[in-house]
Amino acid sequence: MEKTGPLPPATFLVLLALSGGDRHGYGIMQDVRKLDPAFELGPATLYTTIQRLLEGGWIKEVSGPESGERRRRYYRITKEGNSVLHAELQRMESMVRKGKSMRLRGAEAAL
Amino acid sequence: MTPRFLRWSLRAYRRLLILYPDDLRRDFGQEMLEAFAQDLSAECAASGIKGAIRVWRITLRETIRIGLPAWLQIPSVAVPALSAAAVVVSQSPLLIMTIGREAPLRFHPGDATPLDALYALAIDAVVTALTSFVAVYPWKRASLISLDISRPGIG
Repeated sequence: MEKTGPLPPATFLVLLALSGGDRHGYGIMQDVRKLDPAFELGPATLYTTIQRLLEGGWIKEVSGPESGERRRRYYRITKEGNSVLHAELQRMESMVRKGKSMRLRGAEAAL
Repeated sequence: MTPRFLRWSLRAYRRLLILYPDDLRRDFGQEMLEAFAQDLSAECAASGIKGAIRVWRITLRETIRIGLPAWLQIPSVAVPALSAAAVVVSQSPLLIMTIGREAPLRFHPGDATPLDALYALAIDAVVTALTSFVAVYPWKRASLISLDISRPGIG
């Protein structure tokens, strides 16, 4: 999967959640809620995103710890996924810098 | 929230899963169900009825955004649905014209009411949808057969 343009919010947040370590689906949901409480992520959006990321090789499935009667599927960000995430963070940082400098210039002009 | 509500919600969500794309349901259906159950329990414990409403609102919105487009990619669903929608849109002006005054088109002058026009519109939409389905279904079967033939090792 090639990155073309900015990442969709769900993709970005799932990758960001997984950059903190391996997670199962509901764990990712909880992390995304902490990262961005305004973003409403339900199971269908989450697993559609996971499906796309797995197909693209940006995340992979790993075996998690056995707990209870059924082994849960855990997901891990891959090297490719990490580089996409870092590129997106850099793009966002650059946008924030530009936005701040524009606001400063606007404030100077108002004075 | 009562355990009965949670059980009902789980049953309802399991049925809703039918509306999602086959591959998503096959690969992640069980996990989606588990994530929904955990989310609903946690939200109900934290915020009560408000939490339950929030989870269901997100779920229903997702069903429309993800499930509906997937269904509309199936010709035997999309064509009848679009045909019925076209009938409703094209004939709605007639229904509107009957409201508050005499119907412009009717078999028995003086008998037609807006309700009659509404029934006629509904029957038209259903008949159009059924005929479209009958027209499209053989084509869908043919496309499936051609897919089978094109598979490696066949023919």
